[in-house]
Amino acid sequence: MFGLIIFFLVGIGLGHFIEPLQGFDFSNIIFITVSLLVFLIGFSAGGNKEVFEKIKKDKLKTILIPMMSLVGSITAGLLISVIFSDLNYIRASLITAGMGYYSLSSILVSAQLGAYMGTLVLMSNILRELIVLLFSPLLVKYFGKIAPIAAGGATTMDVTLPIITKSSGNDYMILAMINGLILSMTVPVVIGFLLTFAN
Amino acid sequence: MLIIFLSLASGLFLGFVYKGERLKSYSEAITRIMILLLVGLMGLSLSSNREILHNFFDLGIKASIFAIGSIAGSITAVTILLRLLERGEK
Repeated sequence: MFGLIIFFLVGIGLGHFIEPLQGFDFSNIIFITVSLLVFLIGFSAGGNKEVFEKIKKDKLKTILIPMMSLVGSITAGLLISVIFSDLNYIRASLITAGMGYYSLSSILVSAQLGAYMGTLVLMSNILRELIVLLFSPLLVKYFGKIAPIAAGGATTMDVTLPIITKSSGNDYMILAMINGLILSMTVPVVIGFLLTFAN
Repeated sequence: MLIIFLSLASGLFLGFVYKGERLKSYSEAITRIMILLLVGLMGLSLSSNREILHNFFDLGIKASIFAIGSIAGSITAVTILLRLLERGEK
């Protein structure tokens, strides 16, 4: 837990103070790291019989969890829209419908609603991913083992998968994977739908 | 996305075929180290992106409220779902 925050802060410090690193695109390195991590996690879990028994047992649950997570997130956006006079309820729900899938959701939103909304969607969903990345162990402690999967949204199939398996346990890996997969497919459709009402 | 899936599938397959314990405990140790590296890289990519950093304080508060709110909403909804499913099973 503290190790994670320290490494994150060291990363921020390095990026901030070392001149040649500025403007460097890290997305490929991050992608390779995530792919390797996912391979290693698969390798550790592959021989684990419990994992496969879990999918057979919980078919309904594995589909309902991502759907409810999306509904909860959009509802939160609608509630938050009351606070901000410059964001109507459609705009607010667009931000929370991103489910951490910041690359795609921010591109879709900025294309129609401009850079301000695009950046807001980007930052809010990056933060969502970061919070899960840094605080998964705490989420498990206070809200149960399913909490980081619900919180992680579309990112639970790649970026946050390692930390979720670490904090919730190996038997939550498949659930996280399916959750992220379903949401990654649903988020673009939902955002496209919401955008038809936005102005 | 395809590559991530292939990585997971090949890892699962190899883990399924390989029955030994030694390599697996190594891979768990490497996983732990790589998670730390990944988080460091995230910080690095965030702070090396001037555009994000420049707008960070303008939009930061709004974005934080939405991020925390959406997480709270999702956790609440899923927790309610699990309670309902548990009650259904009894």
